[in-house]
Formats: sequence, C-alpha cells, structure tokens
Amino acid sequence: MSDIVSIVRLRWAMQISALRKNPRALVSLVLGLLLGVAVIAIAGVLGWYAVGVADSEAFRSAMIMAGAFLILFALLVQIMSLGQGTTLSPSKFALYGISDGKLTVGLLAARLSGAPSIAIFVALSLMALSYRSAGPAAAVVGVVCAALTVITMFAMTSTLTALLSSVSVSKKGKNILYVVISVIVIAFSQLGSFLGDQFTSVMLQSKAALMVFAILAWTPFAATFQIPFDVIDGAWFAVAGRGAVLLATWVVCYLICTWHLRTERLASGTSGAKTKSGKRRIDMFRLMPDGVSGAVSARLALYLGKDARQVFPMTVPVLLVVLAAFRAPGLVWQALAIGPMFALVYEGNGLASDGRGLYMAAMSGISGWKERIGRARVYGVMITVYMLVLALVSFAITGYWKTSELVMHGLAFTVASVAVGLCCVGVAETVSCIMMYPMPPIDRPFSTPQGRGALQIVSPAIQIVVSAVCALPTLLLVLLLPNIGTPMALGVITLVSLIDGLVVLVVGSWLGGKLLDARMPKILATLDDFASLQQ
Amino acid sequence: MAVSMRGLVKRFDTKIAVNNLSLDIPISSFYGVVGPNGAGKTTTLRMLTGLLQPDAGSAMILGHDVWSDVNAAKRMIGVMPDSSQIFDRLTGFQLLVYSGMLRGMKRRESAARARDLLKAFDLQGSSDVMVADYSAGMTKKICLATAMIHSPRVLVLDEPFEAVDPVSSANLKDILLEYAATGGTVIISSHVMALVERMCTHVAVVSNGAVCACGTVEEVAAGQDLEDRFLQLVGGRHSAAHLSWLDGGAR
Repeated sequence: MSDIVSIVRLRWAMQISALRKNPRALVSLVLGLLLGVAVIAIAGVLGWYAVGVADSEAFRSAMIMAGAFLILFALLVQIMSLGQGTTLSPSKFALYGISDGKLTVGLLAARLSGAPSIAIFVALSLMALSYRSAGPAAAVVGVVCAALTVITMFAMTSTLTALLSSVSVSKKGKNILYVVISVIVIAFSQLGSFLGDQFTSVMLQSKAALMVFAILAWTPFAATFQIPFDVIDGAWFAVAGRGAVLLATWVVCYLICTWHLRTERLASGTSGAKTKSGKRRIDMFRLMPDGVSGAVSARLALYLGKDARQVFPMTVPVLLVVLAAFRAPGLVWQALAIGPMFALVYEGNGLASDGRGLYMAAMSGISGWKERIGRARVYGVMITVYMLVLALVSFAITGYWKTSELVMHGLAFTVASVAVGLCCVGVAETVSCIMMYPMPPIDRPFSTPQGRGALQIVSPAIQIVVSAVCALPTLLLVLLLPNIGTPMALGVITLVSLIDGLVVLVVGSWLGGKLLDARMPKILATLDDFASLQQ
Repeated sequence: MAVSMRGLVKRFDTKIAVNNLSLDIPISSFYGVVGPNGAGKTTTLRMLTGLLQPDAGSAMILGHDVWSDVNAAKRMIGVMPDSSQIFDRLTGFQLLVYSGMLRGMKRRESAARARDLLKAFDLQGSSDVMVADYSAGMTKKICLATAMIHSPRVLVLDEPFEAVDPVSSANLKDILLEYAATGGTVIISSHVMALVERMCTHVAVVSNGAVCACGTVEEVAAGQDLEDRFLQLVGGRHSAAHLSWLDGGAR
C-alpha cells in the first residue's frame, strides 16, 4: 500500500515542482482550473435544471452517446500519443523492484488523483442531480457511477497505453498513424456542425442510433451511464449484468497492464534498428537558395514533412470550406479567406516547435532576418499553394467557373485568401519570437508537457486576433467583393490585397528578425526550460 | 590571445554561478577548463560563446568583443552543440551540410567537407541514417563535426569525450591535436584529469565560479600529479563517511 501512496505523492510532487520552476505552468494551471470550474458549473446547472427528464428517450440517448464519446475520445488521444503521453511512465520505476500489480494500481491511482479525473468526477456527479426526481437512490447511484466512469476510463487508457507501447512502429509509420487519427478526430468533432439541424434526429432518435446505444450500454464505454436508468426502471438484473461487465473490464485491464510490465522487463535494452531516412541526400537543400536562409528553409521543409503536430491547425482551412459548403454555400469564399489565420498558429510557436535545435543557428551567429526569411519562404509557399488548391475546390463548389464575371470574382477572392495567408506568415514570424509555450516533442506529438495547458489556447487566440488586424484591409475587401461589379474595381481590390499581404510578410519577418537578434539568449533559456518539461 | 575574459559574473536567482572570472587563453593552445560539477565551467563557456549574457564583465575572441557584436564573434568560433541541441531528425550528412551552410559556406563546399568529416569520424556508413538513431558516441562525433566544418580558429568543446568509446576517443583526439598543430585553438571543458593531462598544453582549474589556478599543465601541476593538485585546489575531499546501514547485508 505504501508503494501505491508513494507513487501518488510522486505525481503531485512533480506537478508542484513544475509549477515552482515555471511561471507558465502556473498560468496554465490556473487557466485549466478555471476551465474545469466552468465545466463543473455548466454540469451543475444542467443537472439541476434537467430534473424530470430522466425518463425521456432523447435524454437517455444523449447521456449514453456523450459518455461513450468521452471514453472513446480519451482512448483516441492515447492512440495519438502511441503510449508515450505521460510523464509518469512505468519505465521510470524499473530500478525499484516494485511488484507489477502494485505498480499498475499505483500508476492508475496517480492518474485518478489528478485534476482532470477529479473534474470529470465532480461534473458527472453534478449531472446525476438530474436523476433526483426519480428518488434519492437514483441520484446516489449516479454519483457512484460517476466514480466508476472515471475509474473505467483511466483503466482503459492505461491499458491502451501499455498495448501501444508494446508495438514497435517505425517513425514513418507513427507519422502516418498520427495523421490518420488526427483526421478521424477532427471529422468526428465537426459532425455536429456538418449535420446541423438534423443532428438530433440522426444521432439521437433514429432506429440505427438507438440500436447502437443499446449495444454500447452493455460495453464499458457506456455501461456506467445506463446503470442509473436501470435503477430508475427497477431493472436489477441489468444493473448486475453491467456491473459484471465493468468488473471484467477492470480485471482484463489489470491483467494486460501487468503482462506488459513483465514483457517490458524481459525485453528491456533492445532497441529498434537504425532506419535510413529514405530521402535522397540533400535534394531539399538543392531546391532552396544556396545560402544561409536557404539552409534554414531546407531544414524546415525536411522537418515539416515529418511533423504530425501541424496536422490539426493545417486542416482547419479545409474544414471551414467544407463546413461552409454544407451549411452556408454563399460564404465559401469568405471561409477560404479566414482559413490561413488558423492554419498558421503552428508557426506562431515555431521556435518552441523546433526546440533546442535553434542552438545550431544561435551558435552559427546567423542574423535574425535570414533566419526569419528562411522560415517565411517555406510557409509562404506552403500557404500559397494550399490556398490555390482550396480555391480550385471553392470554384467547383460555388460554380464560379460558369461566367467570366464570376471567374473574375473567384480570382479576386483567391488572391485575397493568398494575401491573408501571407499576412499571417508575417505575423507568425514576429509572434513566435515573443509568445512561446511548451510544445510536445516531434516524436511524441500528442503528449502533454507540463505547463502547456491553457496557454495553447490563449497564445494562438492572440495571434489570430493580431493576424486579423493586420489583414483587415484585405478582409474588408473580401466582405465587399460580392457587391463589386467592375473589372477595374476588382483589379484595385486584388492589388490592395497583394500589397497588404506582402507588406505584412516583409515587415513581420523583419521585426521578427530584430526580436530574434535581441532576445536570442532569453529564447534559448526558455527553450531549455521547455525541454525539461518534456522529460 | 585567442580568448580573453575579464571579470565575468553570472547569477541565477541567489546563486552566483560565475564569480568575477578572468582568464586568458593563448592562440594555438589546447586549453583544458577543469572543475568539479557546478563549478561554473559550462556557464563560463556559454558566456564566452555568446549564448548566455553575463551580468558583468567582458569576453574577447581574437581581439573582438563578443557582446558588442555577438553574431560576428560567433562566426569566428566553432561551438560543439550538445546532443539535444541539434536537429536529430536530419541524417548525418544533411546535418553537416546544414551546419556548413549556416556558417555561410556554399552548398557544394559544405557537402564536400561533410563527406570528408564523415570519413574522418568513421560515420560514412551512417551518413543517410537519422541522427536520432545514432548511438551516444556517434552523436558526439557528429556534433563535433558540425563545430569543425567551417574550419574555425577557435573550437569550444564542452565535455567532448563523455560517452565516447576509447577507439573513437583516440581518433577524435588525433583530429583535435592535428587541428591545434595547424594553429587552431581548442578549449575543452572536462573533469577527466587523465585526459586533460595527456592532451592539453594549458589548464585552468575552476571552482565556485572563479579560477583557482591557470597556466601550462606543468605550472598548474607544480610537480604533483594533476589530479592530486586539482583535489588540493578545489578542496571538498573528506574521509569516507561511515554509513552504519551500508553493510551489504552482513548483519
């Protein structure tokens, strides 16, 4: 028992140490706590006012679906981390001879003692207030099921972590998996937006949906959410059956985790074979200018090809266009124009993404301007090509290829979206030198370094606002474009957009270069701090 | 002088890491900076190489004030990065070409020198392998190669032989000695006295952020074994503590 308690205490000691060492971690914790409090408050309000709906089929379906989605999402996040998401990993205890069973239970207890699990438990418990119209027993069972949900969720994620870390996957394979999983997660998260008004009827009330929920309610994904309804209905055999499902799940999770620990102990020390990069040697360097900035561009381009961390932000422009196509076809071009503001949040934290590799540039004494231009070149080309391809899709969706006047409008929108993209690159090159937050390392793109928390939301939000301000002339013109008829006016609008984009690109890169030169030692110290948080 | 440091000071919160440190390093010397853990060696070298701003004091490299134009100073020297301070998702060849081009060399010349360095460091077979897949010793070698590709006049190496096998160490030493013989200045930090005694022409003993002794190896050793002299200078040696419970289970 003392081993288990020690592991829990270790978890909190590491958390407190991170808070002491890094003010960003403290800010992130405070923002995370505020978010947690907000979620709990919303759950409390919903639970209080949703009294009497426990008998409604739609409510029950919604609870089952939400519960299953919560657990599935947690599992998907674990898949994305490929077993390397946590700071407290079993390998760190290899030297101490703790029994596999105690270590398994101890690590689970440590995770259950964390803020996320406590927040989920409290929120689900407050949701159980909605059962009180059926009697206090139902509400009490709801609270108990909240605890069982949290235990089941974290037990399953621990098991998945163990299974995934047992699988030997090449670096290339991992990248492909990250991209596939990321696209699936994004698609699921946008399902509500795509279905719109039909969401309720399709996802909660259709026969197919009800059948799926009935099956899910007998699985660990949703059993704990069905149990309170069984208590309300007096279906005691069903309660016992679902309890048995949960117990069996925990036993299987325990057995898999202990098996994994035993296997790891026997196989420790073996490492994967060296892999050739498969890339022809310095072709990327040949594609870039033969100089300092060209070297920066080539290195960045090589890295972007292996970096799954950019998948989420880079997918946003496509999502916005597809969303507009489904819900508001008249706004497809406007959706295209604002997409780059979200796509380039990754470069807005570009220095943190590169990590301590920036030391090579620092040691070489290259000027900040050349470093920034090297990066701006790659992102400028990337966003331009991206917008041009999306513009072709937008032409097809909107039918703007049908008349010459519409083609002119479409071209003007295309140029405007490219211009917004270039503005955003310029802003990103400045912002990345002053607003940095911890990033997961490239080989563990979905791990969660300490201190990241809410800063990963606040910093990009600020960058998007600044980008919008800098791109304001272009964005205003995009709004006015549908009302403009003459080719001359369209030409002027196109020219103004291009000038806006190019000016912000150049000025942003220049300013970023100055900041990089002035702040290089401070930036390096910050990157050293971030590296320690990734351990 | 290749390097001249005067009154360098660096504080981290309440701890004084470097305390008014002054040191001159002659051109063409093979200079060892030695000291116990936490003595301030790495902090001093970071301030010298423009990676960490000193709170006070000055540093000159080949007559040039480092902090008046830090990028110009950096271009004169070669600093060996730590294994975590490189882009290890590049192959060994790509990393060297990148390093050379960052130094202002043309691509063709960078590639040619990269091939030479890979051959000299016995890394030809792994030139197309990602550095992330290198062993610790191979990574050390590629890091050293990135510092040398532009043939600097001053090389600064922080613990260059840590985790390197004896054969590779011997090969690296030969390369560094040859480099020093051509007029280059090598500054290494280490706490392996035997290595310093064998390789270095000069040594500075640093402790508690200040220089305790400096000069040629013979001058500093003052007739004693260098390691004994080092222990005498830095102190901290005490008789073995008696831990009553540390008995190997005899009781």
